[in-house]
Amino acid sequence: MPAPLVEVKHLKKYFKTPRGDLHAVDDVNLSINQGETLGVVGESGCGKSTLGRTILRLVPHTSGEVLFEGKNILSYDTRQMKALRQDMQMIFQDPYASLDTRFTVSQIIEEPLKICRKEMGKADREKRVKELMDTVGLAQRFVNAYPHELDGGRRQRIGVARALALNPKFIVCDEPVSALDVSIQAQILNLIMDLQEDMGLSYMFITHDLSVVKHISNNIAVLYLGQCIEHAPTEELFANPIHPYTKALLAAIPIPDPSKRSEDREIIRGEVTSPINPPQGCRFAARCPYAGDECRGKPIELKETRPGHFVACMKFF
Amino acid sequence: MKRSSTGEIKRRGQLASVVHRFMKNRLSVCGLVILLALAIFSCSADLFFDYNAQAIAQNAQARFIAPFSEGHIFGTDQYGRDMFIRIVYGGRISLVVGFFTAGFALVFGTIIGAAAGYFGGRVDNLLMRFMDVFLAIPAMLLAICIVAALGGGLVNLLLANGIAQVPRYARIVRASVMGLKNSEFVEAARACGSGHTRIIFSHIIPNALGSLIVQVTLTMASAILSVASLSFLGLGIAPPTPEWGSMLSTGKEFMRQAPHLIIVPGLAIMLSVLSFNLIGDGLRDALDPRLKN
Amino acid sequence: MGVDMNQNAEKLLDIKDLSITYITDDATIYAVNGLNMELYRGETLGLVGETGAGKTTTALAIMRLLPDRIGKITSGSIRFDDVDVTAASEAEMRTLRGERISMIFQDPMTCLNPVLTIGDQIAEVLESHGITSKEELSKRVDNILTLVGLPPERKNEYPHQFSGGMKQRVDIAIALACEPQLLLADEPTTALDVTIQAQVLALMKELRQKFNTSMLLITHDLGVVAEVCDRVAIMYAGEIIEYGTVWEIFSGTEHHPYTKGLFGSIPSMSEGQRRLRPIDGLMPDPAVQLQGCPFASRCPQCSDRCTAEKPASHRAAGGNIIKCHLFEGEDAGGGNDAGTAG
Repeated sequence: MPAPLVEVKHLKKYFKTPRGDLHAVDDVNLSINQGETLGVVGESGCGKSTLGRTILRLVPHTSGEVLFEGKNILSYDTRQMKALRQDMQMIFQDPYASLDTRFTVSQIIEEPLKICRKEMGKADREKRVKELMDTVGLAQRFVNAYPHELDGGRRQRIGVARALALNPKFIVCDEPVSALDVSIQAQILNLIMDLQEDMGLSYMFITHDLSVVKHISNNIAVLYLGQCIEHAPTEELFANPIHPYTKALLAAIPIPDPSKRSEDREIIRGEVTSPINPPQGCRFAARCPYAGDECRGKPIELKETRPGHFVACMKFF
Repeated sequence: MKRSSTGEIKRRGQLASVVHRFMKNRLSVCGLVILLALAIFSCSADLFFDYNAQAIAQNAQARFIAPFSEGHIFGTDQYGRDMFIRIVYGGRISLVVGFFTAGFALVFGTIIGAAAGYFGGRVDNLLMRFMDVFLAIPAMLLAICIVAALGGGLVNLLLANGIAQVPRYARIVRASVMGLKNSEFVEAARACGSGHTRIIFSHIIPNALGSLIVQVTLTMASAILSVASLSFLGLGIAPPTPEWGSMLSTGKEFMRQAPHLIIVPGLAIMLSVLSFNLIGDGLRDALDPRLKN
Repeated sequence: MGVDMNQNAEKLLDIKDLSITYITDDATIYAVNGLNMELYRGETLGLVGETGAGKTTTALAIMRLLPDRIGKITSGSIRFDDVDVTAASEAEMRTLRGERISMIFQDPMTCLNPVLTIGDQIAEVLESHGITSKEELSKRVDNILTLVGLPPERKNEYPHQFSGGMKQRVDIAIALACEPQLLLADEPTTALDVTIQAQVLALMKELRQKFNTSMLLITHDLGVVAEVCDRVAIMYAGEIIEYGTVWEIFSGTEHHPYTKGLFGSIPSMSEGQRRLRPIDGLMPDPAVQLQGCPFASRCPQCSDRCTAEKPASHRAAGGNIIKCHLFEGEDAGGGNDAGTAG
């Protein structure tokens, strides 16, 4: 088996707050293979966006390693990092906030070329922008348009084009479709999947929507309060969810079929507890209907139940 | 939309699109035309008038002539000098003072404020406490101190006025930069590999300019008047050099018998401030493509 | 269940041929075009559509809260129980709002005042509707908070001390404070996480049954609709293009092409297909008044007639009502109880 493209080892990111350390990402281990997609799922505040940003070094890490093609990029200096930016890109959640409103469509797509491909002439850049707009399905008549003149779907296409400008190998997609309408959401998801097939891209796809992640991912990692609590190939996770939180998450999704109403399904009680100085032990214990004494007090390790399926739970494994 | 010969849509650069949008705003173009006319006329005044004979020399026979009579369209002042010619020559100093004070404060205030807001922490503390010290001293007093220390003259006057305004600009810029630096589009720029300078100058400052431009137009007007106050204290432009602010303040004494002595320089200040204002508004709209096209 | 039960029930809300425009300096936006809708006592109607379909505008019109001067009802009538909303005086509307109709918004933060405690905010609503005695107020506030699953001790806390899900519970508490007959819920769970959404939906269901409140649930999430609604109206470009019971819409075979497209766009949890089948194109510009069917430009089965002539409503074999030329002549029975364009 080839070495993974991206490997995250014991990555931690704590934010200092007046009330103590906020454990946004706490000892996460992941790997993403060339040409594959890892879905990262969790609710708001579970640290999934921080994880993506820490991997791309948009926020400084606290400890741990991120290996990209075998090298630890967290030790890179500014110059090395600038070169690496070409290989790692990001698609942002909010197609309204992630585009500078004062730039035209072509200026936005051109920006990474201007920064990282200094040797490119103006004409070459223009040609490349045109190519990119074709690739993501933006009509040429929008070159001079401003983001606010376009709808959400087209804006997200600009964001995708910008991410593709430097021919990256790896893209972190941070909830790229959650701000879009369903019919547009499907267009963008198809685009993201087509690009992967054509260019052999690897994705880390961050989302709160399990139904989206099922479509797009090869593997899924479920995050809860900064920790990865279950990690498995997509089919395996949906067929055999083991952790009570994963099960609750799956049960909570409203299914568009009135015969499957959730009247009899279990609804998980309570809310996500504070990520500031969390207690030792299972962080889901406070909401877990099965939690016992053994779940508290000591850290719980991810263990492999079946080939490729990892779970951090004392009760079910 | 412009199309080139190949039938493709021509891309427009950032500057070109700003100019294009500015030109669409009739009122601001109007302001620009007025200001340019004032400036050009003041600068080329020597072609039409004789500074020493017509703007400086006193003429006791022709004092307080009302406007539009005896060949003086704006009348004459208490020493019999032609108001029109003095206004034209006065524009040289007043326009320069207004423009450069605001420009100086804008450039330095923006740099300091942007650095403080963007980098935060120690840089922020150091720069802003320094600015606070300046803010604690009344602007006029500060200007007096600077002029007194450096000596009079136009350049020192400009510096004094400019420095006194910098803290205000720094505060305004810092506040908007702090809000903007965490926005997603700035993060997106970082993900593309942009350095700090590029992020500050091409993403953050253009987005923070809106609130500044209003301040700029206010500064221009107050700078013209504060030069007059400094002149009055003997620290600014010495008489008989014509300058709108001092014309206004000396004219005050003769307000009842010859109101045109304050109306004329007052109108000149008003007109230039108004055109600054119109240009400022137009610039703000032109820099922000979201507001009307 | 469904239509049959409702025909015996009493109509609470009756909207006929409603059209709303927004007039701005630049353009006239045709937000709602000839909308017909009925809501019976105790039932939940889901109003489904994408951004800009006119869902929220409809809800605001029912409350008569359209923006002054800009938003105008150009034709049609809204009847709520015994009140003609389009003709009522402002004083009548004030007693209607809050007391008999109330609204829950998408963003739980926007409708809570950050400088008042939540207890005071609930008390304020009760006070404005005639409860004045201190003890009575305090007792009612405690009751309401318990009802929505919040400990009454927390009534002296401020909105920022609550999480998103709890704030939405407070919103629901305020909306239900006067036991209204109609609840307008505008994307009440869109801003919430799935596990919290499930809690809030269960809460709303429980309370609705308890007070027999009718609800108009505005959403874009077909999963939520399947979960809580009795009937569904699918809205597109200011018109209801399909209307029926939740069973007819979700399991019937005959549907409006837009409805089919909408279902094709959702990533399914059960099926294995990888590529989604999105609807091509975008919603038509609401500033242009259309001659024909609003969906014509995106419809795979569009014919010349569709761009020229507005389709009438037809009852499909499954019982649902579809506004599309394709179903002409298929009218199964004189389906005229709803959705018929004038």
